[in-house]
Amino acid sequence: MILAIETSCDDTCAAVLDGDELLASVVSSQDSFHARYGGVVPEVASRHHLELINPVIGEAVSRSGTRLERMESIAVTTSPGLIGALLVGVATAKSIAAALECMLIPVNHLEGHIAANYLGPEPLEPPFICLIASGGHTSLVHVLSYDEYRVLGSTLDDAAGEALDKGARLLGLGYPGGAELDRLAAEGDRGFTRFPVGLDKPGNLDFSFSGVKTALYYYLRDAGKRNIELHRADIAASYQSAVVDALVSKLMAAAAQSGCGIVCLSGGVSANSELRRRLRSACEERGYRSRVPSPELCTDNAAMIASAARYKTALEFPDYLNLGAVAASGFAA
Amino acid sequence: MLTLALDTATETLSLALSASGVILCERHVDAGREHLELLLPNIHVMLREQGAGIADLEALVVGIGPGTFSGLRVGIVTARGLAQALEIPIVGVSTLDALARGLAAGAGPRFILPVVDARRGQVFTRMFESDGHGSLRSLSGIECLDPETLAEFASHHADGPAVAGGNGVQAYYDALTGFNELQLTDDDALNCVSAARLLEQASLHGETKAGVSGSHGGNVFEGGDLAALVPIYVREPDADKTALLRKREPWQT
Ligand SMILES: [Zn+2]
Repeated sequence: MILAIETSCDDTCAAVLDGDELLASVVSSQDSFHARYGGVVPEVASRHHLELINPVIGEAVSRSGTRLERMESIAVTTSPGLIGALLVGVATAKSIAAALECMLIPVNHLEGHIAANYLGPEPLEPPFICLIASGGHTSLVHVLSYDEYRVLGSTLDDAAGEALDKGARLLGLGYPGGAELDRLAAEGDRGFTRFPVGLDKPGNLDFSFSGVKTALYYYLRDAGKRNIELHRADIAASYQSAVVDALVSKLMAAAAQSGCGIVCLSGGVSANSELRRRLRSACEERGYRSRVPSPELCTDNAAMIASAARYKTALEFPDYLNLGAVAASGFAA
Repeated sequence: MLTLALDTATETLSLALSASGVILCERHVDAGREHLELLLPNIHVMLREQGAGIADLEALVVGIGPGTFSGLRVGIVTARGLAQALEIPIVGVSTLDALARGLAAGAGPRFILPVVDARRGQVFTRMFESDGHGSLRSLSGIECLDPETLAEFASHHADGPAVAGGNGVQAYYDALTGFNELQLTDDDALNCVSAARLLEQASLHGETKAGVSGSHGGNVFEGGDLAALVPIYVREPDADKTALLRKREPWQT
């Protein structure tokens, strides 16, 4: 039985996994706290994690119908993430493990996103290609086995979710605006105008979203109020389509290059309806198999950390007592 | 009752262990910014030297600042995790109270001014009055000040010289020298937060749980209350806001 803790960004999460059965997963989202700042404020996130961490763990354990002392190991995200946020989770995980004298399993957050695919009624088995896209990351990974990865591409600037959120904000939608943008875009014509996305040369699997966001900024600046009011949904659809295009085309190119016909998504952007639709049709065209975990497993959660922990080395008491947290990590595990 | 006290508000990590009212040992570690890496190993070793283990703990006392945010969070979160897993009570005590208790024990002036480095060129402080018999009364709220204004703060709240100590005094020694209102402490031991003083302040020695909650040292947190045990931040988090927005809106530059 594994208790997993995840606090790398703005959600305080805990989950209990027994074998491959997910007994409980609790996510206490901080979105409403950060909305008034228009983004995640690291110090605000750290303060909320500190308040919520024990109640969230308590809730996960009680929903799982078991007791804390029955845990065989504690899994925790140790990197990458906001350092002040990570240390709340790591300090909590270490102290609970030390009190129970059980094992501790450090987990990389991105491996967690990949491992979300191992949960659910039809767990995926490596090898496969996974696109992790959220407000914090954009990584294209060839998952060779449960503990062997090749990073094929990542973003050079903004994350995909960040690009969608920022576009939403430029269009006057709230924070986090990705979901709003998706809703508005559904009513629009994505062929209305074209926003160029960087690094679009065939064969390049890295992403760059700063240009498309700037293009939208200048478009809105020069388009005129009336034009914008009239075509808000069309502009939203065109912008979202540009970001989604980049994601899907590079995902397909990655599959073709590596000769692996199983592709999947993870991360909060997986909830984007345009992305899901385009991924499905692109895969149908090429005869690939696609898969997207359920929405609650795509956004940050601790169930995916528990899932990844099953394939990682557990540290014995007291070897993990000096464990730290790392803000940035080369994801080359 | 085997009780562990810990303070992580400053760069000096302080730990103490007491049983039935007797301080068994105290430990100070220069942690720099590595509180997360050093806290639990030191707790483990200190307990082992006493022939005990973490699971033997029966109560906890933790310094809740003010001090550096990440240091405080490591200490408080570690204590809360231990309390949640072991189902034992925690008492939160202000780091300034513990520091004042040490300074007051050195006798001398009635007025006690613990000073903790707040970084960014400021200090946290609070004025206390000592009755000379171990009882302390606060004469001000907890403040975040520029060191240059500390003498003025002292004369405003006390009608005699105040003995000032803490890592804030060490950090701004030159700026604080030469004021009649401030008697700076040179004793390194008194300038460090002592977890044994936390224990004293919490009046946990050998008392029952009921005794603890009746003390003036701090609230007792158990089970569902743990969320309420938070650092004394003093500062609002807004300082980070500009940095965040700059990072998020590069197209505006
Ligand atoms: Zn994530």
